[in-house]
Amino acid sequence: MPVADAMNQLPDNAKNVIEKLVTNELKARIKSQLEAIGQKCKELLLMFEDGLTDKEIAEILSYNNAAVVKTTRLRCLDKLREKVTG
Amino acid sequence: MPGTVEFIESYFQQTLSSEERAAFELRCTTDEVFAEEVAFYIATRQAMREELLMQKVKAWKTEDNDEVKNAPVIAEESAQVISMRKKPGIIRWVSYAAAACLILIISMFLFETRSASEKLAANYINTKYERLYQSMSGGQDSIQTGIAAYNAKHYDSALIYFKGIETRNPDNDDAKKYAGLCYLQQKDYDNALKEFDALAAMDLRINSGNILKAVTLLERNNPGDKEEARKILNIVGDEKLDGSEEAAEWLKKL
Repeated sequence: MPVADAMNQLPDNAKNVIEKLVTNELKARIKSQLEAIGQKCKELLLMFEDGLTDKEIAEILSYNNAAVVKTTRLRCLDKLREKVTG
Repeated sequence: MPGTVEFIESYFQQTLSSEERAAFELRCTTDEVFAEEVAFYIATRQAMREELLMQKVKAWKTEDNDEVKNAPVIAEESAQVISMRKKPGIIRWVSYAAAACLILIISMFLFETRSASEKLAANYINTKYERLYQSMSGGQDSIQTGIAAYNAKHYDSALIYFKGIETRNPDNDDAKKYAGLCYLQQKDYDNALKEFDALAAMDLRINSGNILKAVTLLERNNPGDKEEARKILNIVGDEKLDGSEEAAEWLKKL
């Protein structure tokens, strides 16, 4: 699901809380750490955001299966969070 | 928080039960730390989206610049300029015209011989590889995604897919060929040659590596390239490799 639609899933009260926390400064800090998480992680996150499923990513990057891609991708998100929050 | 990211993603992927969704939404408003985690997930996805768009805009702008460079020049009408100087005699006009004709003839001759090989190569690429065959069978595998990007002339994006496959599966000959074609379309001849070299070295029943190497050399047209291309075309013809008909025809013209 595109990220633009994702936020609209939240009810108004939750959406208001989250929107205030998604600042341009946070996004800039995230972008600045994209190289630090490694090319493999960056590739995974970009391909997921480009609309590819975990199964398709597994085929392209020759991972064993979609579950491995998902686990790896979520670990990349954790890694990115650690880098951003320091 | 272990498992939190997966929980957050499951919400936005709509795989949670209705009770779990309600719990998620309540936590967003009551648990500050959790709300920050959700915000981080959304911010990351938005940042990745912006990064992707930037890459695509860059690819499109390169394509647009190429279109502008290749666009035909349309001469504009201009107002007639009436010279106030004394008009030169007829003899002077005749000598000017003769000199202009001579320069024109020499330029045309030089232009024709210098770019004949480039024209052959460009014509081959435009007719045979302007678009790649896209399978309409069910499922969107990686090669097909790359092909779709290639056919839309998004060569940067297409390369990401083909190079990804190539890195993980070096035996995939299609990935090498298509990556080479992407480089060729971008006029990155050195990298195109590397891909086609690797393709030509593979043991395949039908191998277009050599003909594509020759095409790349003819397009690049550096000193020595035409001779190198001739050698390769002779091999293609002698060994009846893929492209042998074209090779025979081109050798007559080069």
